[in-house]
Amino acid sequence: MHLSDSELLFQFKQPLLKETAFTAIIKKYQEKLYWHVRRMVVDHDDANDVLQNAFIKIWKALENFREDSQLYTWLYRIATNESLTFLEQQKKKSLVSLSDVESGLSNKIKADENFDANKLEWKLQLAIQELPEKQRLVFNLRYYDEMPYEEMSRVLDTSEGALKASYHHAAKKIEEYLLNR
Amino acid sequence: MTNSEKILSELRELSPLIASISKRNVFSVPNDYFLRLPQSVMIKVEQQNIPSVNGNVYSVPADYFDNFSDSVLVKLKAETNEVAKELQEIAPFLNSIQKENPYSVPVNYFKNFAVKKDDAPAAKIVLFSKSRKWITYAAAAVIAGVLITGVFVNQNIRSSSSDITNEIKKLSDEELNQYAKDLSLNLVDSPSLLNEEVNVPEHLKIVSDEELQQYLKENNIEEQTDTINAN
Repeated sequence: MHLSDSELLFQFKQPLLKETAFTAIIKKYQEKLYWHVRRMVVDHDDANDVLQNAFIKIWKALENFREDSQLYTWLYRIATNESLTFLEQQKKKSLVSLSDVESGLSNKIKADENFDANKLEWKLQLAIQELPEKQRLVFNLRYYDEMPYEEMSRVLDTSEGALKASYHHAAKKIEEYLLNR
Repeated sequence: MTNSEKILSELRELSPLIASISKRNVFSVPNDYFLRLPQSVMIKVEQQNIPSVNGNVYSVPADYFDNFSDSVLVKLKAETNEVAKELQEIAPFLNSIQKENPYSVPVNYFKNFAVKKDDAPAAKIVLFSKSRKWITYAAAAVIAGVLITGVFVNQNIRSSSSDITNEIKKLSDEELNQYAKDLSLNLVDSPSLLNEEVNVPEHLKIVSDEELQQYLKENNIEEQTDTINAN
């Protein structure tokens, strides 16, 4: 039986039920958060590291969560920040520009054992990796997670208007990439 | 209109091509990953919640443990990265090979590992043969004899030369003159003298006739008298 976010948060604040409630939260949101992270970092092992770090931060901060936004939005925000932090660290470690990190992500896509350059779904992934970070986030949240702009603005701390513009630009760039390749 | 329909409609307006692409997930995930993930996370959470023993008197900067795992991971990867970078420069193909250990070790090998006593038999010592020993001694004796003899002879020569000097000192002038006379007679026949261009007339100018006559008489050199007189 699936408990609501409020019930889970209530249980989490009970010392005896804290771990049980947290495990339930992980099971409820792990796949959504995982794919959100995976689409940003591409590699499974990297996604696993980022996601586990995100859940550890959630564990520490959940006690103080004020519920002024939905739990789901708050979890997405933490996972997004962890993904961006990871990509930033990749950039520093490699001592290359972010564009080179993005091309590195494209190479990881091509290195996937199931990669098929002739399939449109794989070309779409390559096209998405060509986008700047923020546009990539916006497109993924809208296209794959079907997130409303209102919710997205809370996750990314950006106005709805800017997010709409960003999404439109991203879609145009992807289409151009697909038509020219 | 549902949210999904709204988003699809928006996308069709922006790009019919993208809207036509299947949203099939192309990435794969290890089996049972999501079954194991909650437990993995809880283990990490418990590792970070280790209770203090006898009260902790030391303080830790705020949020120190928040990024600890990340910083360790970053440092570890940085080290690996430098090594990988170096190898990539030297031998790119070698760097691409996975660092998997191909060797196997027996079960519980390290658990039961202990330094064993040296039970191996002592190495056989091969002695030189007896005949070789005698030859060696004989050769040493010969060499020693030669050396001693040489030293002895050298000592005699030195002592004899010093004896000669002392003996000469004991001789009188008359004896020495006689010796010189005898030596000069011998030197006349010496090839070196015969070859030298000695200006006899010049030398004889300082010698009187009488002295010459006396000299010749004493030495019985009558045959040469006419030659000298002629010059």
